[in-house]
Amino acid sequence: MINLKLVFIAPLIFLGSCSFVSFSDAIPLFKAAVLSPPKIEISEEEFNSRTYSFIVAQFEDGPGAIMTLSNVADNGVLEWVSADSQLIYTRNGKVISTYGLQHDIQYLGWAGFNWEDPSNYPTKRLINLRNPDALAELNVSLQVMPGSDLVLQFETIAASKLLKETIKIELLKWQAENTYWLNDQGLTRKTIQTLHPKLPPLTIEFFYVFN
Amino acid sequence: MKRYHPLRTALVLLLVFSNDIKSDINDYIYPSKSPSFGNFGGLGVIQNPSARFHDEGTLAFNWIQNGVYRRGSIVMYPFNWFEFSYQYTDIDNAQYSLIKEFSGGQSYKDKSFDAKAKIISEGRLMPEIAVGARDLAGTGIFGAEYVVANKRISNVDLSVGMGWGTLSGNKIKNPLASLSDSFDRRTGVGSSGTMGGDFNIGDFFSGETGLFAGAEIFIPNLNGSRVKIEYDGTNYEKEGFPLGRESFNLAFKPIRKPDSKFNIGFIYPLSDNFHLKASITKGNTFSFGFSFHAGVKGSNPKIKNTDKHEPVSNAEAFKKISKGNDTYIYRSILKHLNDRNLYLQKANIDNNVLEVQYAQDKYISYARATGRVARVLDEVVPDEIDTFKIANTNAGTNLNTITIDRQSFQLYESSKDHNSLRRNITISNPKYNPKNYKFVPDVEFPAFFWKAAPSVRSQIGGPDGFYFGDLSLAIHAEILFKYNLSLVTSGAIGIVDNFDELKLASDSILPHVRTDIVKYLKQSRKGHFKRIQLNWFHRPTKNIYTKLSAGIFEPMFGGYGFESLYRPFNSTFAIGLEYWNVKQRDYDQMFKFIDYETETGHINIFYEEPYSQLLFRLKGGRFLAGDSGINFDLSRRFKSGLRIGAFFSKTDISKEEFGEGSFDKGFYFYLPIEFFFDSHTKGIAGFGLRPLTRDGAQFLVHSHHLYGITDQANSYNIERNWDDIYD
Repeated sequence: MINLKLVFIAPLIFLGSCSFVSFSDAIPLFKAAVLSPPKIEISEEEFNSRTYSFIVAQFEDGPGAIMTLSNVADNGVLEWVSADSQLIYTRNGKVISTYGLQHDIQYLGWAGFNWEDPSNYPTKRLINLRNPDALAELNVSLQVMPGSDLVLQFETIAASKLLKETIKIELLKWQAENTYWLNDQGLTRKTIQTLHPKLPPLTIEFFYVFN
Repeated sequence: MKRYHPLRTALVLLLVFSNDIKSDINDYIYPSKSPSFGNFGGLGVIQNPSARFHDEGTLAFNWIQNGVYRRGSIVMYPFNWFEFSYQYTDIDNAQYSLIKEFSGGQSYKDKSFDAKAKIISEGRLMPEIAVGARDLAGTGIFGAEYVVANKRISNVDLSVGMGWGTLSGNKIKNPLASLSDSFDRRTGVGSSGTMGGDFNIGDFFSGETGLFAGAEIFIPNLNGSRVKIEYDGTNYEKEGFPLGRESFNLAFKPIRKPDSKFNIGFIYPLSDNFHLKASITKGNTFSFGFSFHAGVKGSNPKIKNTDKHEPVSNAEAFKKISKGNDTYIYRSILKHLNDRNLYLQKANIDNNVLEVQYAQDKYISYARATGRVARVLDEVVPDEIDTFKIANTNAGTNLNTITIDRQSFQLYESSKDHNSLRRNITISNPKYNPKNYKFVPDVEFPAFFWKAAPSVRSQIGGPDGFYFGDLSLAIHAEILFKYNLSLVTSGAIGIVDNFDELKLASDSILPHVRTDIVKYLKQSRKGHFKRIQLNWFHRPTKNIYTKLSAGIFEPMFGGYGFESLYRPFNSTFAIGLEYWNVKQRDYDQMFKFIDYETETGHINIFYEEPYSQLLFRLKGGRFLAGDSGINFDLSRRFKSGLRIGAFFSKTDISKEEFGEGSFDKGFYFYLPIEFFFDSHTKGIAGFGLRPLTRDGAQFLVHSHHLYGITDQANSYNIERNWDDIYD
């Protein structure tokens, strides 16, 4: 992604009579301006060496992180933590709360996030958007489709179900489609979700370690 | 009977009872609320100015093509109540000169300053009110003064104002004329008797007066786009060269007259900072452009996550091993500080107090550097040590010592409570005896440092062409013979330039101390030495710093001299003295000199206001061309390290002797380059501009100014970033 701030201020600096940017500084500067961050890759060996479940979360064309499962609540909410203390809370693969992202979210009342009975899936939800702070009403619809082969980091699995969730904030004329791939045990293995109107889609791959 | 809606009820209850949720969905409906630029330098509707301001520490660039005018402006906000812009306007209905050999076919270029100040901030009922002036100290062809008020109502930002000069298109009686008859008359362009570049204050708010109005209407859910409508206040009979040759002998065609008083425009923000714009002005002219602004007053927020303190691995093991053995402690801290670009210079352990003296070239914030040192010490030093005395050094001199109670440092670390920590810390500047330190790392003198960098020299806005520049490979080297004796060298090998067409010769009647710039640029294009300067630093008493220097100081002068500075640690005042005996360098910028030789020297007075971080610098003495007088420089520093400033000089030469521009003036900003990076770096990129560089009021440019070197020998400069101590 092009860093606009850099593209427009850097020439201004070069116009200056006393500008000075050393080579060692300039190379990463321009690299950062024109290249996207690298994708995170997990090998089977690395997966086998891990003692806790983890997710690989990556924004489209943006930074990614491996986040480790740090807590399983009685109500089925999983807490995932990154190396720099960002937190993602999921229930059945749906992100219901985040802390430390550029734009956080918190769903208010997440109890209905259960894929087992799509006909009872609530059609209205409240979401608390952060930066800037606003409370919004979401219209939600869910569509269940048959799954197909799903390529994850180092394996290909058969997804038994594919869920398409459409979320819409009427007031903002904003809508997004979230996709969930479930395995035959009903566990979400991969999802692409747009969490916030100001964030690009987030891809999450789930790697479960059962001790 | 009304139906019960549990979701709506929950929403209402949440809004009523939750203090935490400040719900404003409008921030999403109108995602870009930052004010937008007009067709002139500053924020405005289309042709009319507005009373809006960006936040302090914002830098902006605004470019517009509007009929015969093509205008590029650099805009700065040293305060959130003050806007300053400098622009070049390319005027297509006039030539730069009548002499083709002098300026080719170049169109007329106009340079101007605009300024605007907020008088009243917007309240619930009160509008925001500002007063401003266009084309200050320029030729005056866009000269205008105005008072303008803005009020935001829902998604509409309304503005209404009164203008003078070129903003007097919709005429009313000048209300100030009732105060004095002098407000009735405006002498106008070219009649002030100035050489251009002078402030024609007598004309301000005088003569014809007019009203203007406009509105910026924010469109919902369209990425912050706005429609702008205005009742144009421009007096097109006065702006630029409206009648062609009848208005100005260099103009060759008249400007299209307006068909309408109403202008309409559209702004599309690619982001909150970058706006594309288009408009129809005068009912017959299409204009378009873009603007970009960036707030750079605070630290780069990205670095907080990408360049954190790296904890020492196996720190507990180091603690155990070095327990009771001072040499092991010293070796441990030497390694772990050096690994983090914090260079240990000396250390001593006495009575549970660990004293370290270090140097660093990574962190702009002195508190952050000290905090990083303290964290390493806390991690690896045995628990018996209860106090850290951390001294920072530069040019072989201790500049400050921060004494940290270790227990307090640990206590407030998790909460990053820097305020509570501050109560248990002393900041001082004792003069140390280096012999008091038991541990001194081996340094082999002479030590050699160098780096290579691309370098650009620019010459903007001359008659030969708008832009001339070169790109060269610059080598910067420093040899340390002792901690306080160094040779600073800077040279460059030319890569590419467009100097062939640059031929403007100096017309100055003063010694050509600066105006032979064309000769210097052209004859040094293959390679040159910018500087070969030997410096010796000494601190004879606690508050006095001195420097002796000799060699090639700058592209045009070399010689010898000294600088001395009295700077008490807890004072906002400093006073310095400098004397230089210099000879002018040959134009090839190698080792030869030409005949001109002079003595120059100044008394420098500094006052830094700690709350606003305003630095006043007054320089009085004899300048390079032999003229005597003062140079006044006012600048503001922000937390990020950004400095925005402006200066002017007055010396004992007449306006005629000075030449075009009447007196020396200009502005500058220094931007920390870490703003663009993922890690901390101390580098600064500077941008400075004088509308015209003449020979009067020019002073020697030498490296390692004492006021800069001793920046951290002042308690206020450490306190200003104290909240970085745990960063």
